[in-house]
Amino acid sequence: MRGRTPLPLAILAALGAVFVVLPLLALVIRAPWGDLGSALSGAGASTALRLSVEVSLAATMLSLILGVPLAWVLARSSIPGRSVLRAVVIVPLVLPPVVGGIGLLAALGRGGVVGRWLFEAFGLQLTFTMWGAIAATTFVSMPLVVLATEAGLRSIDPRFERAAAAMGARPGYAIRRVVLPMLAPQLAAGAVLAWARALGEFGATITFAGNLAGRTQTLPLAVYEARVTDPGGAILLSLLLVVLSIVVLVVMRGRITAAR
Amino acid sequence: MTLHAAFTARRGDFDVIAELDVADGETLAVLGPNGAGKSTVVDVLAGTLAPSGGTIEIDGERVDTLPAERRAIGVCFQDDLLFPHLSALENVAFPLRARGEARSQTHVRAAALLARLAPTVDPRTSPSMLSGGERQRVALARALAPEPRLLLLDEPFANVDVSARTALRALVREVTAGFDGATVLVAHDPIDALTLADRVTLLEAGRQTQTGTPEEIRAAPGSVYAADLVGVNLFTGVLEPLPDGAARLVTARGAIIVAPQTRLDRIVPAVATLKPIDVALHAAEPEGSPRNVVHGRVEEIAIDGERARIRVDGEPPLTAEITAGSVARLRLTRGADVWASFKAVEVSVVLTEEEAVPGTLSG
Repeated sequence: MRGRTPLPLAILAALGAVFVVLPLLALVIRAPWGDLGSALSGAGASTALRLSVEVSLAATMLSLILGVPLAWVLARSSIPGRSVLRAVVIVPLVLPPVVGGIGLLAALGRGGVVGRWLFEAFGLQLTFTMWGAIAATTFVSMPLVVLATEAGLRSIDPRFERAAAAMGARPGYAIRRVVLPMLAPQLAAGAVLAWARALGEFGATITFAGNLAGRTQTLPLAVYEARVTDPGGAILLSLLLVVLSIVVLVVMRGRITAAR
Repeated sequence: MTLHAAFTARRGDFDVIAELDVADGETLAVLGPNGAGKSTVVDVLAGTLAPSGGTIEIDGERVDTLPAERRAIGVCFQDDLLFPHLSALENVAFPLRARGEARSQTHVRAAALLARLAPTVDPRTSPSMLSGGERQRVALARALAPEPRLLLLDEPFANVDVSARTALRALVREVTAGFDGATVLVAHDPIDALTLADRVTLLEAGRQTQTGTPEEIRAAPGSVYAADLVGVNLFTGVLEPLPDGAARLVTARGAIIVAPQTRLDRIVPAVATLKPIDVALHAAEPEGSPRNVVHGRVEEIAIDGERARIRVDGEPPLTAEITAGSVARLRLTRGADVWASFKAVEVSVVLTEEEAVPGTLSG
C-alpha cells in the first residue's frame, strides 16, 4: 500500500534527485553543440574512445580469467587463511585508485619490485603502455567479478558438483559443463559491473600508466586534460562518456535482474 | 556383478559402520529413519565421501580407492539433482558425455532410454517444467545411461506426490528386475523397501540392526523399532476390478477390498500393504459397513508400554496396533474371537506387472 510521503522526506528526496540530475542537465545545457562534429570527429576524441573501449574490455576479460578462479577458491576450497585472502582481494574496491596506482608503480613500474626484474629479463615495461592502462584498470575492476562470482557459487548447491562426479565427470569437466553454465547470470552481472567500473577508471591509470594520447589516454583522462585547454570539448567528451555509461546501465539492468 | 562393501565412515561426530553384500540382479534396501546414516552410506558408495576404513568391491574390483568419476555406478539422487541448465535429453546424456563419448552417439542412446522410461517427457524440456514424478523418471534414465555395474537409488520417491508414486514404484521394480547388476535402494518408507527389495537391511543410528528378506524381518522383527518400521501387513496376490470401480486383492488366504486403481481393466499381480495402526478391532461384528471385516481368533498379544500389537488369525491374517487400554476394554485374550476392520483407502497397492502401467519399459 502506498502511504502519503511526509513533507520533510519529500523535500530531501527532491533535493537528492536534483543533485544527481543537475550536473547531467548542466552538461547538456553548456555543451557547445555547434562544435559537436569537429570535437567528436577529431583524432583525439576517436583515439581516446577506441582506447577506452579496448582497455575496458581487455580489463573485463582479464578480471574474469583471474577473478573467477579466485572466487572458486574463496567459495569452495578450504585453504588456510581464506578469510584473510577474501578481505585482501576486495581492498581495491575501497582503496583510493591513486593509491592503487602508486602501489602498481612500486610493484610493476620499471624500478618496481617485480617490474625491475621483468624489464631486465624480458625488456618488458608496463608503464606508459596500453598494457599498463589495462593492468591498472584490472586492479580496480577484478574485485567486482570476484564478489559477484563468489556470491553466485555460494548459491549453487555443491551437491550438483558431487552428482556430476558420481556420473563420471572429472573436476574440470564438471566445472565447464555444470558450474560455469549454472553461474552464467552472476558471471554476466559481475562482468558488466567490472566493465562499467573499467570504463570510468581514472586515478590508477593516470598514476601508473601515465597520460599519453593514443597509448594510455582513455576517455576520462582525455576529459581531464581537455578541461583546461578546451572546456567545451571536455563537456562534449563527458557527454560521450555519459552515453556510454547509460548503455552499460541498460545492459546491466537486464543482467542483474536476471541474476536474482 | 556383485557388491561387497564393509566400511566405516565419519561425518562430524556421527559415524556409520556398514556391511553390504548384494548379488547379481539383487536389490538390497537400506531402510532407516532420517538421521540414521543412510545418506552417508550413499555418499561413500558413490565416492563423494571417503570412508575412514574398510573396502568396497564391485565385481571383485576395489573401488574405494578410486575417485567418484571412475566408479561404474549409476546414481539416482534424492531431490533428483537434474542439472537445471540442461534439457531432459542432455541430462540423460551427461554421464555418457562426461566419459568422453561423442554427442551423436550419446544423444541417440539417451533419447531411446528417455523414451522407454519417461515417454511423456519431451526430450528438449527443461527439468524445471517437469513434475516430480517425471523428474525422477529422467533421473532414473540418467542413472542407467552409463550401463553401471551398481545402481544406487537414494529415496527415489521422496519428492514425488502420492498419485505418481504407484506408477513410479512399478517402474523402479521393473528397472531393477531387468538390471543385471547389483541395486542398492535407500528408503525411509518401509513400503518401498518391502515391495521393491529382495533383502532389507535396517540402519539405526549408524548401525545395521537387522538384515534379511522382507518376510524374515516381518516375521521376527529384531527390535521395537524394526517392528514399527516393517511390521506392516503385507498381502501378495492378484488384483481384480470390481463393478463399482473398487478392486479386490485375492491372496492365498482370503481377499481384501482396496481403493479404485487407475487403468485397471483386467486381473494383474499386485502387492499391498496396510499399517497395523489402521486396523480397528471389535469384540462383536461391527455395525455399519466398513468394506473390510475379517473375523478370526487372537493369536498373539504383544504389549509395549501404551501400545499393543495384536495378531489375528483370520482370512487373511492381520496385525493390528491398538492402545493397551483397548486390549483391556475389548477383553482380548489369546484365542478370543475378534473382528478386525479397515478402510479400503488405507491399503497401499503396488502393481507388480509392467504392462499394468502404460508407457514404461517393454521387454
